[in-house]
Amino acid sequence: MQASSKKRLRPATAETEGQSTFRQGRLKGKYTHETESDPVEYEVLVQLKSEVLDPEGRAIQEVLKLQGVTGVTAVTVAKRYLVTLEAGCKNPDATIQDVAARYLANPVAQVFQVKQLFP
Amino acid sequence: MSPLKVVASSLRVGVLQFPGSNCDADCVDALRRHFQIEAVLVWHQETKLPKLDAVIIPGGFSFGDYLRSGALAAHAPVMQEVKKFAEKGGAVLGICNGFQILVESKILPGMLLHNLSQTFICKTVHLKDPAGNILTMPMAHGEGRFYVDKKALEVLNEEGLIAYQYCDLKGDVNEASNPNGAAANIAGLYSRNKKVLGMMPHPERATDVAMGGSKDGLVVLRNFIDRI
Repeated sequence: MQASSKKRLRPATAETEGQSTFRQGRLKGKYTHETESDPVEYEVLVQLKSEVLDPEGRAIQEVLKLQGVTGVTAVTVAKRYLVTLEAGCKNPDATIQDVAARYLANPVAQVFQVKQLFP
Repeated sequence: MSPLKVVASSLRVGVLQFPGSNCDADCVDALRRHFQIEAVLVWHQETKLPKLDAVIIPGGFSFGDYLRSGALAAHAPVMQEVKKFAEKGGAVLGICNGFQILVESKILPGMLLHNLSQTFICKTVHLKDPAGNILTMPMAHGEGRFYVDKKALEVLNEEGLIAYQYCDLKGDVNEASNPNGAAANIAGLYSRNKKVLGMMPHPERATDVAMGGSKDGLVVLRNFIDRI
């Protein structure tokens, strides 16, 4: 892969803070950086299809009800993966879709959502 | 033939080994001791299977059950060979984690989800086969709730691919006898050609009365060997 060009560093703002704690953690929480040749970080959420019983979500919902929390109509449990693709990856969006569809989720009973966190 | 009768056999069966497999030795022992079948261990990184008549994918926690049970093992090099072996009509038996690997490999349909109770369940269960025989053996898993959508379940029923269903002592298949919430109480499943069998309970752990009082696992293994 091509060598990374000079990175433009900029301070994390209130807006970017919390969007990518994984990356900020590696940069000691001070800066985020963004160039075309930066690594690309994605969040992939995997959860059961709506028609498949989610016993963990149902149990949480039941306990909330027993605790007197009102108004909770559904709880769904999802698994969150953070995946970073190397700088210079030719088609990161297609790559992450492929990774999510073939490995992270099983389409028999699960669905997934991909969100780019960085840059 | 009686499942308990020891017969000399020229069959050669491969038992796969993944990091985290823990029932491989039990499978080898059951084949050698009760059926005099030569069993060889096959490492997960093998890119070519030795000359084999059948493959057993044993139970355990391959790759720590990370991602989903069986999901990482399904992509191991040896599984690409097992897929080809099964496509050519080779006999494959997947037990517990082996069943999970078979569905994650798409060699068998469906998916195995976390048990309805969200707990690891280790207990003796009763199974009913299509002929109505009731077998007793242990189950030990956290992700064994077999799931397919309604349409696929109808196909499994119509084509007679449900190998074993959880039942009670009388053979009744009902909600009370379903330990993990599996669709239609499914504990084991055949491929279309009936050469591939995946099941969550452990036949290799029920081959001697000293193991808990049941030898019914030998019946399952005998049936599997007869289909090779």
